[in-house]
Parts: sequence; C-alpha cells; structure tokens
Amino acid sequence: MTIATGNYKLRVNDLRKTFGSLVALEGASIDVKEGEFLTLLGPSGSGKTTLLLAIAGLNDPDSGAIWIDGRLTTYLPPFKRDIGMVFQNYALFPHMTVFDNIAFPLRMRRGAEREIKDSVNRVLDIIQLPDIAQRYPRQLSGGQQQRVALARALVYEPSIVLMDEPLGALDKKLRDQLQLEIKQLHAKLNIAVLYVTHDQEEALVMSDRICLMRDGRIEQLGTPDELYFSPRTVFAADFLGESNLLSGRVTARDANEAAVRLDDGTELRGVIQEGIVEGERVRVMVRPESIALLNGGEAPENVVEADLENAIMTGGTIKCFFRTGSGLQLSARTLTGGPLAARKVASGKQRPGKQRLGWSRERTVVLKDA
Amino acid sequence: MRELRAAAPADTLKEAGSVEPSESGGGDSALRASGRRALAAWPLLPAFIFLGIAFVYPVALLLGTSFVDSSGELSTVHYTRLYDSRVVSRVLTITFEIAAWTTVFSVIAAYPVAYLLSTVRGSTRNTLIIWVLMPFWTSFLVRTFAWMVLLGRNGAVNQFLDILGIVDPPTFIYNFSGVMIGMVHALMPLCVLTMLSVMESIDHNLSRAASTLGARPGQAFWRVYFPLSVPGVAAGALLVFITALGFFITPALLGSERETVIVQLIIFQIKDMLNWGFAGAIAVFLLIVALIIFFIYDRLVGLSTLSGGSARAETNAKSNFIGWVGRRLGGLFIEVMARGSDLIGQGMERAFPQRPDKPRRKGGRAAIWATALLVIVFLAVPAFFIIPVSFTEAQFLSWPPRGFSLQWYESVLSNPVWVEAGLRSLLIAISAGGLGMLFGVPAAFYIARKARFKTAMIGFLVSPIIMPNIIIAVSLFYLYARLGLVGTDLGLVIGHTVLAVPYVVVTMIAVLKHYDERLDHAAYTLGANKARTFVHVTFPLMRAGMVAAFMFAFIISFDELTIALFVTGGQVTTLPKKMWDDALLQVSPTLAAVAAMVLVFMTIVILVSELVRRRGVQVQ
Ligand SMILES: Nc1ncnc2c1ncn2[C@@H]1O[C@H](COP(=O)(O)OP(=O)(O)OP(=O)(O)O)[C@@H](O)[C@H]1O
Ligand SMILES: [Mg+2]
Repeated sequence: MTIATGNYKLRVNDLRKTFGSLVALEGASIDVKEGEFLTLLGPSGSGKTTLLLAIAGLNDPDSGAIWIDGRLTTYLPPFKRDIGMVFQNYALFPHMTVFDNIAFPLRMRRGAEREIKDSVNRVLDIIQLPDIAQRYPRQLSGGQQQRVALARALVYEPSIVLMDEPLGALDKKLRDQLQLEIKQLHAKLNIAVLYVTHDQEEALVMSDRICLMRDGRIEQLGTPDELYFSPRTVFAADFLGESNLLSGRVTARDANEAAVRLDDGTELRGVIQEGIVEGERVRVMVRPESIALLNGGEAPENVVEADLENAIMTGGTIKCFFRTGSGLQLSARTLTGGPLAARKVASGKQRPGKQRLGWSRERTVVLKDA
Repeated sequence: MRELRAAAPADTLKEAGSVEPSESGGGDSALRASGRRALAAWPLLPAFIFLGIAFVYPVALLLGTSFVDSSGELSTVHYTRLYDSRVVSRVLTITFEIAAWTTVFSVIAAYPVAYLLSTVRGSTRNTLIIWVLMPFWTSFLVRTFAWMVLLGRNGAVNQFLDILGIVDPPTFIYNFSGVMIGMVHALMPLCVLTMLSVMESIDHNLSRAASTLGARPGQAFWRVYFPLSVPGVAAGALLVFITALGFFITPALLGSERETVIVQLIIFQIKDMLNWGFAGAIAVFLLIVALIIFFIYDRLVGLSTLSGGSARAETNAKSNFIGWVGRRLGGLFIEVMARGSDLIGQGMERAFPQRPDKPRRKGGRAAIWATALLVIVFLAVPAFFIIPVSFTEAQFLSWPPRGFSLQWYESVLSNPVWVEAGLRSLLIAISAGGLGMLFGVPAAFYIARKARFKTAMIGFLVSPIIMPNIIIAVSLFYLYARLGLVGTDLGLVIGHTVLAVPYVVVTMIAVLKHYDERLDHAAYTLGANKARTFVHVTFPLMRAGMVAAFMFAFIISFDELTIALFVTGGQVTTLPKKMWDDALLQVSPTLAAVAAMVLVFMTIVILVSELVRRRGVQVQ
C-alpha cells in the first residue's frame, strides 16, 4: 500500500487523537523529507509527545494516516515501522552492556553476529565512545548515556529517527554541546529526524524546519527564520523569542503592506498578511533587537521618540525599556558594546533621557488580534 | 492499607543497605567518638535487650538440648536418629514437595497480578491492593475454614460442578490439592507484594523502547521486562518457600495423613513424646536448611535483592560457581522463551495479518486483566462463604446453608470458654502491640536516621519473623517450663511481642523513609526544643504510620496460633487456639459463627485504621 510520496521519509495526514473528552491532537499534518531535521515545538500539553508516539506506533490515533518511507503504517505495531526512537530518560536496558544495548535492534532483525559486531563498533566510533562497549548504562555519565541511546536508534539505519526531549535531563552546558553533536551527526549521516522540545532556543539552533504546536493543533510550520521574523499569529510571535506586541487598528493596506494607528495615536508601517481588512483591530510585532537607537543620519520607516526608563545588562546585550510621551511602552535590545546611553544607564551613571528609536517596515509584522 | 503494605520486608529494607561513611579521626579522638556513638545508640537498647532475652537466649537453649542425650551427656544421638528415621525422611520429602509446589504456583499466579498493579494508577490500584491483601488480613483459621466449606464433599464447589453436570467430581480436600489451594491462597499475597515493589521500579518505557527497536511483544517481555523483574520473582519465591516450610495449620486441616509436615513432627515429639532433644534436632535441621537456602539464593541472585537492590552482575565460574551455572541456565531459559514466543508471534501475524489502516485489537491487555481478576477473586472471595454458613439451621456444615438461625451465635456468646478466649486474645494483642511499639519505635527512629550497619541491625530485628515460628514457640516453651511461665498471660504477651517488634520496626522504617526531617530542623530553628518538636511536629505527622504499625502488630498477635499452642500449656486458651482445638475435632456451624465474627471484627479494625491513615494523609 504505497502512494507517491516523493522522497518524504514521513508523512502525517490530518491526525486526530482524543483521550476521553480531551482532544490531544487535531488536524495534524506534517512531512519530513530525506535528511531533514524537523522540530515539534510548543508549550507543555500542546500534543507534541502524543504526535510523536502516534508516529512511533505507541498510541493509536482516532483518525488520520501515517506513511513512513512511503508505506502506510497508521496502525501497524511499533516493531514493524522501521523507526528509531530516543526517549527523554534514554530507556537504555539496565541489565545489558552498552554493546548488547546497541546490538539489540540488530539481533531483533536477525543479523549475523559478525556483522552486528562490526556495526556496533562503527557506531561507537561515530559517537566517539569506542571504549565503553562492555560497560553497563549505570556506569556512564548522563551525556554518555544520551550518546549511547542515540547510537542504538541509529545503528540499524531506520527511515526516520524520533526524539522526545532527548536533552531535557541534562544541564545547560552539556545540552549546548550535545545539540551541536546531534546536529553534526545528522548532517554526516543525512538522516531524517523528528525532534521534540519545548526549548525554543534549541529548536532554533537545530532545526531545518519548526512545527509550532498549540492545544493539539499546528500553529505554524516553517523555517526558523520564517517563524522568528514572520510569525503568522500573536501566539507564535509571543512564544518564540521576545517581542513588542502593540495594539492598534489598520488604517490602510495594499497587497502586503499596511499602515496602522496604534491606540496611543502613533502611526506605523508594516508587513501584513491576507485576510486582514482596513479598520480591523490588530497587533503589531517588533522584535526588541530590530529597534535601533538612532543618533542622527538614518531614516527607517518607523520612528518614535521616547524616554529611556530603565536598562538591564544581561551579558552580551543590554535590554532597554522606553516610554513615549503618549504612553507607548517599548523594549529594545542593543549590544553591550554599542550605544553609550543605554550602557551608562545600566551601570547607573546617567539619568534616563530622550532618545529617537527606529526600525524598518520589513521587521514590523501586523497580526490579527487574537 | 498502603502503610501496612509498605511493611513487607522486601519493600522496606530498600534503602537500608546504605551505610553512612564513618568520620575519620586519629587514635584518642576516634575512641571517644565511637564511645559517644555507642551512647547515642540508646534507642536501640530496649529492642535489643528484649530480643536477646526472649528470643536469642531461648532459641540457643533449645538448640543446645539437641546435642545432649537423655542422661545429660553430650551426644549426637538425636542427629543419628534424625538421619536413620524413615518417618523423618518421608515427612521431610513431603514438606519440601509442598513448599516447592506452593512456591511455583504462587509465583506464577502472582506475576500477572503484580504486573497489572504496577501499571494501573490511583484509586483502581488502591482498591485492587485491598482485595489482594484480603487473605493477608483475615485470620489463617478463618480462611482455612472457608476452604472447608467450599471444598468439602457437599461443599459449594462440588455443588456448582454438579449443576454443570459433572457427576463424579474430583475431591479437592483432605489431599495434596487441598493443601495446595490453602497454602497458595495464604502465601500468594506475600509474593504479589514482593514482586510489586520490584516491578514498580521498572521503567515501562523500556518495553516500549524495545518495541520501537523491532522487538515483538514476546521478545520485549522475555529479554527486557522479565530479566528486570527477576529480583522480585526470586525474593517472592524465597519468602514463600521459607514461610511454607514452617506451615502446619493448612496441611493439618486441608490435607490427609500423607501430608504430615515437619512442624507437625516437632509438635508431636514435644506434646506426645516429650522428647525435647529430638525436637531440638529437627528444629536445628530446619534452621540449617533455611540457611542453606539463603546461601544458595545469595549465590544465585544476591541477598541484596531482598532489600530492593539489584541482582548479582555477571560472575565467573571460579569465584561463584552456583551463580555462574544459574546465569547460564537462566540465559538459556530466556533465550528459549524469547525465541518460542517470537515464533508464536510470527505465526499469529501470518494467520491474522496486521492491517495498517485498522486499529489492532488489544488482546494482550484484556488477557492480563482477566487473569489478574480471576486470581484476585480466588484471593478475596472465599472468606465470605463463612458468613452465610454461620446462619444455618442445620447441625452440620453444609452448602447451601439451610434456613436462617442465630442459634450458633447465641451458643458462642453464651459459652464462657469462647468469651474468655476472645477477651484474652484481645487483651494480649493490645499488650503485645503496645510493647512492640515501645521497643520498636525508638529502634526504628534510630535506624532510619542515624545508624551505621543498618542492614545488619534490621536483619537482627526482623529475624524472629524470618525464622519459622515453631522454633520460637518451642524455645519459649522450653524456657517457660523452667521459669513457671507456661500457661500465663505474661508468657503469651512476651511471646507475641517477639513477633510484634519486627513488624513495628519494618513498618516504621518504611514510614520514616518518607518523612522529611527538614520539618524537624525547621521547628528547631523556630525555637522548639527536641521534646516539643516531637510532640507538635513529628508525632502528628507520623500518627498514621504509628497507627498502621500498631495495627499490624495487633493483627499478628490476635491471629497467632503457633506460640499460643505451646505457651498456653493447655491451661488457658486464646481465640485461635480454641478454634484450632475445635477444628481438629470437627468444623461445626459454631466455628463458622466464631469465624464470621472474627472476620467482621478484623474488617472493622482494618477499615478504622485505614480511615485514620487517610486522615493523617490529608493533614500532610
Ligand atoms: N495517556 C493519556 N491519557 C490522558 N490524557 C493524556 C494522555 N497522554 C497525554 N494526555 C493529554 O494530552 C495532552 C497532550 O499531551 P502531550 O503529552 O502530547 O503534551 P506535550 O506537548 O508532550 O507536553 P510536554 O511538553 O509537557 O511533554 C495533555 O493535555 C495531556 O494531559
Ligand atoms: Mg511530552
């Protein structure tokens, strides 16, 4: 039962899953191409794990269809799906050595012992842990266990590898390091990966595409750039990164550009999607790092004058809080090595004062008010 | 009964293995430090002194007599006789046969129940556990009577088979199968609890991981889940086997002459032959057998599994031959089972191909539920048959009961022997429970919080319940005969307190494990001294646990027969002893009435303590 799926390793079509009266998943459709890294991102309870488990065959969807490598597998048991899965707590078998853990899927597929040995050793080399084959999982550090779990899911070259918050149990530093390692491994082996996290930074760092989920539905699916700079909903704008979300009304629009009057009277220009009409209430999103502190020459489309009320040094950047004469509040982010004004306020040496702020039309997104 | 449940030894010794590192210090200061530590160990003293006098000393005394002949000379005459006697070897064979089969059946039936319990949550789980524990808390004798009502020639089971048209049903009672049914019924809950404590710690993601890696359910079970559950299976089997070796009530009432077990032989030697030395020799033999079994167990899976530790790792043939052989055989067994079940799985898939577009049937889960529920019905239901029977108008026990009458209740309540026996049992159970708390609670506090060598200390304190009761009973009888304590209430209370202390210690340690000591520290920083902290903070929070510990000790004493059988010396009687004496003559409707009252009384006691416990939980 195959359909023309091109080089898609995974296709999910209109999946629905309920637990009693709770709709955990609704109208979920995604696809993952060969060699693509797709991340499911969303707040707790948004249905990421439910979707992943349905793909793994660990829970049955109510309706919809799943194809893996062109084969319909919606209700096939997990052991017939040709997937690899990495669990959050690794799920390494504690009574088996690392070697036996990694050999397990090969033995289930009845490989010859000689080949099994070669494959395991090869994959242990790839994860750069060639000397731990005879150890038990409890004798490994968290990071090492994570790598072994990865090796176990990769060794039999499944069509797609599923990972449910694989780095959730590690500390920040190790997590950063393993993010890069997984990313490199992915590039090297050219495997399709479906990854789950609720850490937006992790999603932005690792993914080719991100699927943002909310209350069991897909909110937006796109590249990290698209999601970050062109969110399609207030929720997406709010969930990823920081943003200024300003309420107002559309005064004029053409194909993809609009003029908006904010509630305090400020006029702004920005990018607008289909389906919003003149006069409709909207929210305007501007990222803090898109707002520049102007000194003179530049002339971006949107300019306001505001008082610097407060500034906080957060390491590489300074976060500045402004308020205009009409009462509009804005936050901006500048590099710590940048304009003096904010830096001085941050270290408490100078009183806040008037400042011209500006940002471009492309970085201003007009969104339907939720 | 969550608190009580937690008191199964295997569950509680879990963290006991950890020994705090000793502070290092040089010469003099180290001496002073160890002296201070010894002083600080005062909470252990009452329990240790009591068990030393009332348990270690009499047992040693009895074992000593086995090496002395009738003229008082040192000799091995009793052991020679033990070795030569055909009766002894026959009784030993049947005792081991009964214990072994009881273990096999208990483990097999308990496994699906424990598995199910480890996967369900919340209130379903609590309800199921109460039903599983039903037989654990209803009196031994009541349960045995119930089986007599059910399995007798005109019992409920045969009547039922008759309705089904089976005219010549097999006899289930007064033979080996009767003993099996009674013993498995009595000991399986122990097995369920022990396995449950292990299975609850198995990550259920492991089986799911195995299936995503390509393992069929059979392979996933045999290669991943089963090996991880082995420590629980082994510990459960060991406890059942050792306990079964010391059983005699069930074989005596549900078996025939052929099912005479070793404990009955000891009783016979003392009661009828007055041959202490020979009885002592049999007791020593029993003890040695138990020790050998513990030794083999340790080599095979490791004693640490009894306290929730993990099983022995791979060993080589030289350092641990038994363990090595066991591993090989175990590996072989798993390999065969895994491959076999995989073949069956493949066959099933070929016969009923899986459709990718239709949800598959969840047959496995339903089968586990069905099996587990069947076992739970077997555990919980029989006791209730005693109630209708007690209202019969007939002069003999029969099923179904004829008419309705309260005459048997009247005859019990108007008989001073029964009433006195009941009151004495109540009094002794309260005293033994109280004394058990007095000795056990301080020891538990000390062990849970400060002690080094925790495992050894707990091991000593629980040894009275690991050792077959008969040895304690005979030893105490021997000592009491010299002190003139036979037939006294004091003697009974002391005997039951020996059993109460271990149960209190084990329950309290389990409870204390969950107590957050920082609450005490918070009270200190807020200005409360130690005494006030205990009264206002520790005690209120621990109340539920203490009630559970007391109830545990109370129930154990109220139901105790072995020690009572000897220590009463036929002069006074407790409720279980009176029931036993009557049952040996004939199981009459009078006994059914007594049993029904005991059943109702025990149920009320358990419900009340459960209520108190829940209130305690709410406070927290
Ligand atoms: N087995 C289940 N029974 C009942 N409800 C469930 C079950 N599994 C998940 N849910 C519910 O379905 C919804 C989605 O859960 P899911 O685990 O998919 O969320 P998630 O996005 O993975 O969240 P998290 O980031 O916390 O892991 C939640 O409301 C959850 O409570
Ligand atoms: Mg999740």
